[in-house]
Amino acid sequence: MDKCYKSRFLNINPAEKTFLVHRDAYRDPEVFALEQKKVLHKSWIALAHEAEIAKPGDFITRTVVGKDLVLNRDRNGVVRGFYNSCRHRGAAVCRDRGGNSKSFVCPYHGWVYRDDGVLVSTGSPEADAAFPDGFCDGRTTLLSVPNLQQYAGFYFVNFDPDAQSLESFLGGAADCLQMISEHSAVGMEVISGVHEYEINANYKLLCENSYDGYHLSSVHASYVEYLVETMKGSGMELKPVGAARSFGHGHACFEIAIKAGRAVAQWIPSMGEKVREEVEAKREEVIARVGEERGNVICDTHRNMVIFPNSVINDQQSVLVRSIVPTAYNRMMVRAWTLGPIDESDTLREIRLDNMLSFLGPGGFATPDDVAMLELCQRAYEATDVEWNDFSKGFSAEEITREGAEADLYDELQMRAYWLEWDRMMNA
Amino acid sequence: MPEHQRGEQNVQQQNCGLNRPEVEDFLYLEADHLDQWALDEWLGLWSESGELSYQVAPTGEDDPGSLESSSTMFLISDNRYRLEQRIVRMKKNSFHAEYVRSRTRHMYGHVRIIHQDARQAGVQFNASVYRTKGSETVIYPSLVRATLARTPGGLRLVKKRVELDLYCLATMGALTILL
Ligand code: FES
Ligand SMILES: [Fe+2]
Repeated sequence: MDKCYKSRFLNINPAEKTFLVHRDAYRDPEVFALEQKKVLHKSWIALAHEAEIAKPGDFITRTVVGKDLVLNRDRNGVVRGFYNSCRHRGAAVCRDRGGNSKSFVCPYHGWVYRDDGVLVSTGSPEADAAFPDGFCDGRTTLLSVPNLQQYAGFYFVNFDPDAQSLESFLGGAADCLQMISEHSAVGMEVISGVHEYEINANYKLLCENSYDGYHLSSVHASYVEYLVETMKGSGMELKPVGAARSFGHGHACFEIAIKAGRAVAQWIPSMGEKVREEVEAKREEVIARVGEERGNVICDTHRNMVIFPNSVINDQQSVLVRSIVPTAYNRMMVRAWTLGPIDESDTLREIRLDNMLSFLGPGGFATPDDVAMLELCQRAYEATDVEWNDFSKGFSAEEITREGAEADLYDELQMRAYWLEWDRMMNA
Repeated sequence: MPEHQRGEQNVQQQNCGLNRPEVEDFLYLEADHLDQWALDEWLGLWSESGELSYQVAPTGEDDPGSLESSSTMFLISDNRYRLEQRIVRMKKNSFHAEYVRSRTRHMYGHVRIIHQDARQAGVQFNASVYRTKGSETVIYPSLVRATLARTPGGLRLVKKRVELDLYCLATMGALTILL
């Protein structure tokens, strides 16, 4: 791209090295309605991890991009995704957050669905007799979501019947998920406890923030001071080094080597001498399994990744998945859950959770300050007439066409990759 | 049985002579420090000897009383060091989340002494914390389990564990006040 590019939402000038995004993308309710259709319902959305539905009969209910879903593993081991709505008059057939069940019984008139979604009873033999023949013989089923696929244990849904495969959608981002699955030889599990909180801001603001390296030293000054404090006298230094990387399809991450400690597997003094041996043994196990180079990347670097358009996967103090549910143009619900190796010892599990809580989550030392910034931005979009946001930091026109472009950690390549894809889909 | 509930079963042999009015007086002072944002004074109400624990259990759980922070992701789980660091952070100008501080009102009721031994007592109470930011006010209803120790300096907190009744942290989603 050498020429200027201008759309309703983007204004890119390669000669001037400027990249601007119009604030209507965050503040216009009509844009939000349009992007539900054109972006959110046409992309793969992270839903769950396979560990949540490990056994036949396991089910969970989730809301993603405005759709209430049931995800389960049926008696034959097949993983299924349904809309949580009875085919009779619509009531939710499942009111629990999760559990194990061979069937779903609608509370309204008592229709019974088998775990593969097939209606097997309309409440009683008398009721069955009043329906046409064969009504309960496979003719009526819960409605399945159009597409449900998994990669490296992460389940995604896509509401577009013509969707490309998950793997081709993920492109280069797939390897980051693969790397997470390599934290353990026997697999990962979802740790109990979920952080669910709302933010009064457009969901894209949280995506941008999740891999924004530029804000670390300003917004997280108090967290960085805390980290430095924990390292006092250890001879270790924080020294973050890293890069921002785009993967195509709007996905990108920043990868940063920082001594913040990881249960898989980087020891730092604040974990205590007692566990040093165990963390280092875990590190050797990973390296023996996946090789030295990859093992070092897994153990020493944090990857904050946004899978376009709303799935944030942070591989850092722990693996934290943020499923963002956009609820209005200026509001989102965040559902954050964390993963750890199935075979992790109690000691390491405790360290993992402790280490993560210091940074992440609505009661951590970092996330609340991010939330405050996003809400300040959103408020100004709605209460001022300023039109354009600036994403020019480190912009060079050739990054747009380069596969797997890389940039300085503190640049804004990640967000430009996101906005180019978003703009493309909005104009499609 | 989780460690924080274990004491409830103990047969009382000796106790530290605590009665409810004394506990209530202490808790009202604690609440008052929080509502005044007198953070150092609040920290001063914690026991200086041994390990302490300030926790907020995750929302949306059917049985939060059964959860342990060693195996469940809590909202907050601070030991002494992190609680001190939290206070340090809360006093900084770079504590953006409370740049304009929330006003809070901690209401405590149904205070009960659950058990006591020669040194300390386990108490339980209901709390509703009102938090106002800008033009909005939210309420955090909870059950609080606390351990109070008798020390030469007076009563001191050893543990405070807050189990919220909330399904999620909706309005004012960041938990940047002390519950
Ligand atoms: S709505 Fe489900 S049985 Fe009538
Ligand atoms: Fe941040």
